[in-house]
Parts: sequence; C-alpha cells; structure tokens
Amino acid sequence: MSRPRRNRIDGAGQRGPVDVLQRDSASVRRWLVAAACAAVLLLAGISIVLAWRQYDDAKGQARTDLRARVTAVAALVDTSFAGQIGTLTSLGRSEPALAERPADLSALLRRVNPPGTAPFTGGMGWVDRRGIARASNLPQAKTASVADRGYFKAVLATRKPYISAGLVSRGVKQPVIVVAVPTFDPRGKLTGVLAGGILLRTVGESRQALDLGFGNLQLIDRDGQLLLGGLTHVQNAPLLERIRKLGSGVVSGDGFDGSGDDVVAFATSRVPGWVTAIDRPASSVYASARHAFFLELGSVLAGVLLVLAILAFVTHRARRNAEIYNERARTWSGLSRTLASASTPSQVADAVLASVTASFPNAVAIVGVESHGRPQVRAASRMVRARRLVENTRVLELAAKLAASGPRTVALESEPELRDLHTKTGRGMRAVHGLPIPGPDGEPAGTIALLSTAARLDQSEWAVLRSFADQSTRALERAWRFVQEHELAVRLQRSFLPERLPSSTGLELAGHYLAGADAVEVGGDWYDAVRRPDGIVHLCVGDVSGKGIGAATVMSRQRHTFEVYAHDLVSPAEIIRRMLRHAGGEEMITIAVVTLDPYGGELAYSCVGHPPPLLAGHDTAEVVRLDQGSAPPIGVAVPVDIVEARLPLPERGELLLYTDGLIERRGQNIEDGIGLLEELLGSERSLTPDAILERVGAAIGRPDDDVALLMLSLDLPRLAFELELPADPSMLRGMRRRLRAWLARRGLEDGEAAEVVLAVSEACNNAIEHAYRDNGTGPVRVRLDGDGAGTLRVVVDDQGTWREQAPTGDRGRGIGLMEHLMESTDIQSGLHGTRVTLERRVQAEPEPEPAPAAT
Amino acid sequence: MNDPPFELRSSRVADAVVVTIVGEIDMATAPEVAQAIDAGHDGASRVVVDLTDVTFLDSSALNALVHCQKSLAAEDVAFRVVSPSDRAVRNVFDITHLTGPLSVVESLDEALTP
Repeated sequence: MSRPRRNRIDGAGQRGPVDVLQRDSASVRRWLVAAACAAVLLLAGISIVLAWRQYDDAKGQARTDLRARVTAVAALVDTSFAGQIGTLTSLGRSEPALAERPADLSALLRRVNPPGTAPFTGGMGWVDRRGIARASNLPQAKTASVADRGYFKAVLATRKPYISAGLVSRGVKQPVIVVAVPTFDPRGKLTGVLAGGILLRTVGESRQALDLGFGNLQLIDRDGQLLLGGLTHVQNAPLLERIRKLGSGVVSGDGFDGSGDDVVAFATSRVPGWVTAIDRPASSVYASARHAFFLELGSVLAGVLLVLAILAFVTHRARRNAEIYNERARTWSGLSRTLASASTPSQVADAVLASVTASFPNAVAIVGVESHGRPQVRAASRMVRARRLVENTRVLELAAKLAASGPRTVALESEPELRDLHTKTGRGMRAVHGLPIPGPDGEPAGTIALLSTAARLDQSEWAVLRSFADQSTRALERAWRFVQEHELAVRLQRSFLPERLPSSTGLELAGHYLAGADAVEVGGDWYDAVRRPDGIVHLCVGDVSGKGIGAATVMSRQRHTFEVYAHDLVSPAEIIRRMLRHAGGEEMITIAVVTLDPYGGELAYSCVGHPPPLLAGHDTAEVVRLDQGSAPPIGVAVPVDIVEARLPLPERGELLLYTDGLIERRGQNIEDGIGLLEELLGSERSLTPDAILERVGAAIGRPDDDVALLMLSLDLPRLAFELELPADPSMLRGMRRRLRAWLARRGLEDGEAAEVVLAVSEACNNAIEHAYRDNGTGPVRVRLDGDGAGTLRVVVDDQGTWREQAPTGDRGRGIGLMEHLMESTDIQSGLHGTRVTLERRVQAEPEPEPAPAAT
Repeated sequence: MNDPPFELRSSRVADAVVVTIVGEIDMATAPEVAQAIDAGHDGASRVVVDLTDVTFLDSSALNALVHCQKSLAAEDVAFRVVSPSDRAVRNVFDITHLTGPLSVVESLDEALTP
C-alpha cells in the first residue's frame, strides 16, 4: 500500500495558516526550554559560588586549627621547661648541693632522674665555677670541662636559669638541649651550675601527635636550628625573620626548606625563646576543605544533570505531541489534494487510510469502503506491535461494523469478540473509535475506525476523524462516478472490437485493447482480423485521432468497411484505398493492413501513416520492419499512392501490429520505441500481448494513451490446409500451387506431393462437376491435415448431389486415379452434398517447434 | 501469388501437326487442349501432342486425349503423345494404362518418325 505523497510547502510556495501555527508554537516552545535551562544553570552557578565561599571558610578554619595547635605546643614547651627549671632549682637547693658534696649529689641525682629516663634523658650533672664536672647521675661520667659552653657562660654571667640551643652532647655524643640553673651556697655565693640534657630524638615523634594534627611540627631554637630536624639550619631565613617579628600567626608560601606551597603556623615560647611551628603543604592542610568542596560541587552537578534530564524528557514528550498534531494538520491539508487525484474507491480508501495512519500513530487505522459492489476493509498502523493485527480480517471487519453505527467509542472489554486484544495478546489495545463515512443517500458509504491504545479520543481528535470522513464522502462520490464512466467507456470500446479472432492451430491470433489509465472516453484505436474462405487472412490495426463518440463513430465505420472489403479483396493496398474512401471526416486516420497467405507462404502489407508492423522469424532470428508499403496518414495529406510490399512468410515466428500508443511517450523519440519492440521480439519467443505491454511498460513506463495490439503467432508446419473454393475449375490451379507449398512445408517429397495433389485435384473435379450439374453455386471445401501418426487425411465436401456413373466412363478415370494414389478412398453422398475422404500414409510429419535458443 | 502459366501452340512439321502444351492441364484447360487438337489437324496425317513441359495432368486431360485419339482414329489420322519430362506427371499414363492406347512415346523425334 502506497502512502500518499506528503505535500510539503517550501519557501518559494505559499505558506498556509497551518504552517504559520506550527512555526509559532515551535518557537514558543524553544523559548520556554531555553529559559528553563538558563534558570537551572543560574541556580547551579549560585550553588557553586556558595560552595566556593564555604571552601574559603573551611580553609580559614583549617589555618586557625593549625595555629591553635602550634600555640598549644608553644605553651606546652613553656610549661615543660618551667617544670624542668623548677626541678633543677630545687635540686640545687638540696642539702648535698648546698654542702657541695659531689658524691651525695650524684646519688641524689641518680635517685631523682635515673640515667636514660625523662625528663633528662641526656643525663644530669653539676659543674663547679671553673666548669669542671663534679657530680653526675651517670655512672662513669667523664670529668670534662664545660667552661666553653654557652649555657655555662650564660648562667655564670646572669646567675639565672638558662636553656641552651641545640648542641651535641660531649657525654652521650648526641644532639641535646641543656637546661642549666645556678647553684648557691647557703650564703648565696655562686657555687656552680646544675645542668640536665634532653635528647632531641624523643621529641615530637609519637604517632598520637600525628593523629592529632601535630605532624610536621618544628621547633626552632635561638640559633635558627631545627631541633627536630637533626640541628640543621632553617634555609628560608626571611621566613624565620618574619616569624620572629610576628611572634605568632599563620603564613602561606615557601616552607622552611625554602620550597613548596606550604602553610606555616607558628608561635613563640616565652621560656626558651624558641619558635614552634607546623610547616605543612597547603594541599594537606586544606584536604578536608577541598574534599567537602568537591562533594558539594558534585552534588550540585548531579542535581543540574537530573533537572536537565527531566527537562529534556518533558520537552521530548511535548515535541512528540506537537508532531502528532502537526502531522494531523499536515495530512488534513494534504489529503484533499491527494483525494483530488484518486479516481477509484480503492485509491480513495488508500489515501484516507494513509492520512488516518499518519494522524494516529498509536492506533491501527481501519478504512472500509465499497468497491465493485463488495465491501473492502483495509488497515495500516505505525505501531510495530500491531503488525499482525492489520492482517486480522475478522477484527478489522468487526471494527468497521462498530464504526458504521458511530461516531462512537467501544471499549474492547465490552466486546466479547475483541476482548482478547485487550487481555491476552498484550498489545495494549483498549478501544475502537469509529464513525461512518456518510453516503449521498444517507446510508454509510464506508467507515473509518481506530483500534487504539487510548481509551478515549479528545474533541480535536474526533474533529480530525470527522473531517477525514467528510472529505471521503466527496471523494468517493467522485470515484464512483468515475468508475461508472470508465466501465461504460471500456464496455463501449469492447463492442467496437471483434469478439473473436479467426485463430487456428499454427496460426494463433491475440488482440489486446488497453484503455488509457484515466480514460472515461472511448478511444479511436482498434484492431480486426478477417479470414477469407480461401484461407487468406487480413489483419488490420487502425487509429482514429481524438476521443469520444466522434472518433468512435469513424473507427466503427472504418472497421466495418475493412470487414466488408477484406472478404472481397486480396490486396491490402486495395482494401485501404476503399477504407479511406469511406473515411470522409476531419479526423486523422492511420491504418496498417497485413495480408497473409499461410498456405502459399506469402505476406503482403500496406500502411498509411501507421508505425510499421514487425515480423520476427524464428529461423532467421531476425526482426523485419514492415515499412516499405507506407504512405502518410490520411488527414495530413491526401495519399496519392498507396503502395503494397510483399515478402515470404517465415515458417515460424511472430507478427505484431500495434498503435502508436504502445511506444509513444511524451518527450521520447518514437524510433526508440520501435527499436525497443524489435529488441523484445528478437529476444523472446511466443510473447503474448499482455507480456509485450508489461515489458514495454517496464522499459519506458505505462502508456499515456490508448493502445491496440494484434499479435500473430505462426507455426505453419502445424497448420491444416483448409479452404473453400467457388465451384469454378479455374480456381483449381491456384489451389494446387498453394497445396504444393503446404505439402512441401510438411516435408513431403516432390513425387509423393504430386500424387497427393493429383488426388485432391480429382476430388475437386468431382465436386465441381456435381455443382455444375445441379446449377449450384455452393462452394467446395477442401481440408487436409495429418493425424499426428503419419497419415494424411483429405476431405473434400460439396453441396451438390452425387450420381453414380459407370467406372468405365470419363469420371471413372478420376476415381480410379484417386483410389490408386491414396490408400483409402471413401465417397459418401447425402442430401446436402458429397464428402470424399482420402487417406494416405506419408513419409514425413511436421516436427514440433524446436526449443527456443537460450538467450 | 501468381499461378504457373499455361501455353498452347500448334505447328506443322511435314505432314504432322504438333500441338505443344506448357503448364498444367486440368478441368479448366483440358477443353482448350481438345479444341486445339480437333481444330488444327486438317490435312495432316499425324497429330503429335507434345507434353514435355506439362507439369500437371489430371483425369480431365486424359479424357480429352482419349476423346481426341478416338475421333482422329476415326478419320485415320495417326496420334502420338510425347511423354511429360516430369516423372510424376508421366506416371499418370501408366496408372491409367493409357501408355499404349494413347501411343505415348519418349521424344518428339520418335513421335514424328513414321
């Protein structure tokens, strides 16, 4: 089923109101979608900005945290050193110290701080004023001098406790810091220095410190040494300077090692004057803030995507609905144009069906009309799952029946026969909506129905269906009128063509008349064939220009003239001359007459203004164009000379006569068309007129105009010899000539043929004699044919009365000859004539036609 | 679609009349042959019918020849027939046993020999 061409209106053409509506609603829809997208993006932007600010805050928080930790550490350092100074000061005031009894002091020191334990992991000792070590908690302390040490000098000078910078202990050979306090005798005279060393490696290494955010802790002493970094010096001197100036705070930039994007939080301990700092890469400090930020960002993006997806889905739905409406509007405006060119009820139904299908994509569209007196229901759908449903005639017919009493909606559940569709098959069909197509007499002329997934149709959908029905009414009315007129024209045309053609075995004739596709008028093309009693066959094809009753009258007259003269005359040129004498009118006429003597094996033809008949011989595989005996068409110029041409007939082959409608196409050369026919006849044997029309149609398209075709298939060896002679002895000579040709074609030798000819001639002599004697004018019928098994059978009939004669008389010699020449001779006389039947076995029988050569 | 020609000539050779026939002798032409033979033998002692170039011969022709031969014999005129050169045509005389009665000979010379 072909869908109607959709009528697109391009820019150059007119724009209908429908198109304006479509455009406007589409642009409004686009604006709405764009605005929604913009709003979503704006909200997303705001969220991101807020998240950024939160990120900033979190970073500040991280710095503050860091600073708090450092401050805590600085305070811890202060407290810790104050405690140790306190410990040392109280030991300095102990009895052994006051009494300057080194041995007792050593013992005391060992008791208070056993070697290797906190707080003074690096050992304790007392030196006198000269810097000589006098007491120690270590067992075998070396008595080395510490007089050169800074802390010793500082304590002697200030008479106050002092905490050294990082230094390498002479006793334990490890980095230590030394806490030192002055000792006095009871009179307050400076006696020496009590000092304790703290091994640096024990500071700040615990796992707990890292977990609590004290990782990367640095202690920097007065000399700028990193106490926890093996007493190396701070490389980034400007940073250290800055830190010392500020006292406490947080700075970003290069770290102590002079590189990297670090955050450094710092505080200064009061007691030793150290800087406590945490120097960490910014990325590590802000890790959790960043984490939170990305989490926030991710959720905003996810939200945006979700909203956009919802928006896209809604838009898609809206567009789809809009498309359905647009399609409806388009089909509605296109349908009237499609229907205008629909000329049969079937075409109307197809056009309406296509429109309904396009307008209701979620349904099976069903259209029923009456065509050729029978109801026809056809269906189509764009639903893939309904593919099988459109072939279910029972369902379609039921739906059409329901629609006939509409407009109405019938739920499938309420229809016992349709309930299956809803429940079983899972196609989701829910209802039939339908309405009748009103006919001119009030009776429905057809139905439109929808088998739909929708339980109900809205008002606009009913309006669409109603408009389809209204348009269908008018189109159907037109189509019925057209069909009636067309049928009338075809019937009339057929009455102008021969009812049957004089075909016989070996000489088959087939005629075909094709009315132009849109024809409601009689055309002027015709064909005819006449077989004369003497076996000569005249074929004629003619074309009277114009259409309608005028052309038909001329055509009819031409045909009758042909039939009359074809019986009287043998010459094709003479027949045409007589026909033209009866043409008279203004019409342009073309005629081709081909005359065959199938026994004599000859063909003569003559044409006026007609495309040349084509003769294809199987033995020569050649197609001959019969264009020698031609004259211009009558009406264009008066034909001065109508000439005739002759040529031998092939034993087997085809002869095609046609009117120009077969090969003439607008804008094409008629020569090409004739060439095409020649090619067709040359390449394929035994074509029927139908096949020729089909092949030509496939090559150059359907004919624009009426076409008359007359096709002759020749198989002369299979043709019986059959003719009627007037009872005139002078006709016998011609009969014998043709009989010899016929016998030769059947393969009889000369001698054998001569005997058969003599026997037949004798039988004819008899018949003519009877006819003469009774003064009759009845003809003599001669018929020869093989029985297919090697016997030749001759029958000669006359309408006279037989009279027995003495075999010795003149006549007796003829009968004697027949009896001698033939194997059986039978003479039957009756009231209405005599029949002589002769039989003889012959050596040859016609061979069946050889198989056509492979092409 | 032209039929073969039919010709009929009569000539005198010494005291003989030679009637030469070309073509087909049948029901239509046999009367002409008979008439030509009857009409042309005045004063002749012999009539020769030359059928050398005859291509068809039927019972009408034979009847005519027999009829002529009988009437000439009554007038004491000798009668000879020169056989057709076509064997199929010649056979007709044999079939009808008329080779002897009609004095069918092979050539014109033989027919003219006394």
